[in-house]
Amino acid sequence: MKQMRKKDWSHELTLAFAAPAPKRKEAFLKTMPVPQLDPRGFFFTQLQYIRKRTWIFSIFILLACIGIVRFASDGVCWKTAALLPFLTLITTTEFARSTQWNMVELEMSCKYSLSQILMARFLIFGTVDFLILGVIIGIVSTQSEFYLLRTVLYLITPCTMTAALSLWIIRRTPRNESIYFCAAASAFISIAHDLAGSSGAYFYHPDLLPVWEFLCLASVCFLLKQGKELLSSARKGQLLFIH
Amino acid sequence: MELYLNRVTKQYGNKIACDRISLRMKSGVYGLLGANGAGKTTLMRMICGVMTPTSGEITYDGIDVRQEAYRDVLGYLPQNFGYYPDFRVQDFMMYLAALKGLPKNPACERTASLLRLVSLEKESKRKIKTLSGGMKQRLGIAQALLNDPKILILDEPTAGLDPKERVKFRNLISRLGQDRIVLLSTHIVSDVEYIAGEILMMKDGQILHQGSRDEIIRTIHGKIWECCVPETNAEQLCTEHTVINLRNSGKDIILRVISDTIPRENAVSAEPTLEDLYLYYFQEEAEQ
Repeated sequence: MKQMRKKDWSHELTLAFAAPAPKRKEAFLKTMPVPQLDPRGFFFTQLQYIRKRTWIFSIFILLACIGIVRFASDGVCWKTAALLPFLTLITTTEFARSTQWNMVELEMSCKYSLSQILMARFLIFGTVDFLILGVIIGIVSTQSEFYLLRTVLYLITPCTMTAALSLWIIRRTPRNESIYFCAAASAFISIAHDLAGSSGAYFYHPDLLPVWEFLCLASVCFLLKQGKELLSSARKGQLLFIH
Repeated sequence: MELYLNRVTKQYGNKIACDRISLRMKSGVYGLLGANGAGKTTLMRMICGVMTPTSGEITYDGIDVRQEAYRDVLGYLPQNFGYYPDFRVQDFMMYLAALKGLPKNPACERTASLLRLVSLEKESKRKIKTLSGGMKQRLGIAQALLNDPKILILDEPTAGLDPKERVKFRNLISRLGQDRIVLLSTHIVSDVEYIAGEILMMKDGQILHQGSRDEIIRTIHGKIWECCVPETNAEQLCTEHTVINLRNSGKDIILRVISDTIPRENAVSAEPTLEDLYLYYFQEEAEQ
């Protein structure tokens, strides 16, 4: 009963007197600590902004490779290897987005700047492509006439070559055209594989193994160098001058 | 709160875009005036850490421009900003909020209040590519305020805005300048005249003048003249001097002229304005 009366009083008071307008509310709120997104949170938000078509196309390539292994009677290795440059192409289009759509300046001026965005994308696609390639290598090795390490060598080399070339192209071609140049590079490596693979067995001859090893090592080194230079360009604002 | 530029220089090959600029800025609105190619955008880009100076240093309360802590207190509206083509207004704001370190819930609240502030709340679901130029500019202003920045850099913020929007924007800038450093560049002299507490005149990569409107106008005192001449003499006067304004008054023409000496016997000295000062220093560019 006592509590009810208290409640009535407060209700009557609110009806009788209007609450005063808050004083210095804004100033007070400004003193409150603003929650901040930590680097892990930032990384996960970047996942949301990767285009759906990038994921769909990556899965499509994976399914196509599974299809080749399932239905092709021979040449599983070179047929799969000829498809893989396109997996790399999809990834590299994500690295060219900021320059392509003139977002470099805005992204560079933010707390998590362009170089961190690119690093997040490197990490995301590095992991995803590694997993997809792992699955593809696993499937192909069951049908391939080569032992596992050779299969890995033959499948990884076209990927690293395309990735390194594409990163090189992104920094050196006009921003509206870089994707087309990357596509051309991927198509060139893919067609070269297709033609060389279908023309005879010499493409994967054991005599050429040192050449393959050299190509793989050189393209991995070139890829690392290009990745480092892209990050450095993003930090120094050199990507601003790609028109 | 102090933004400090110490002998900041930017050189492209043989061309010096910014030449040993030193400034100390405390809270308030600073207007950067200069003709095309004066080095305004280069200076703003260096202040935003988007461009690395060839020499010199930029700090905010001792924090270097290259540090994350500096970018955390920075809001920037570039002259021509882009956007991803699949972005809607809300996506664009949320994406930049994440880059500015705002978690999802505060980012949503901040986005809603800023879109209200720039009168874009009804457009939040629209694709950016369908917005008008003025709307895009307002969106750019909103994104610059997402992290409640202590340093706000606005490169040509009123470009594309209609007169009503410009007045609204000017009032907003004045309010923002009370507790932060606002640096804006524009060609529209009246914008700077109305809101900037301090004006920086830039030419050939150097700061020619720095001070309040009255202080810098004082430099051209006695160099602005008004005279009434017949139409035939007006042509000749136009070729000899920089004419700021020309209006018909019956048979005669009233001219407003910039000249170090009296241009005609009947000319009377006039009170200079900021526009007169701008034309005095940038007459070659204006003639071009």
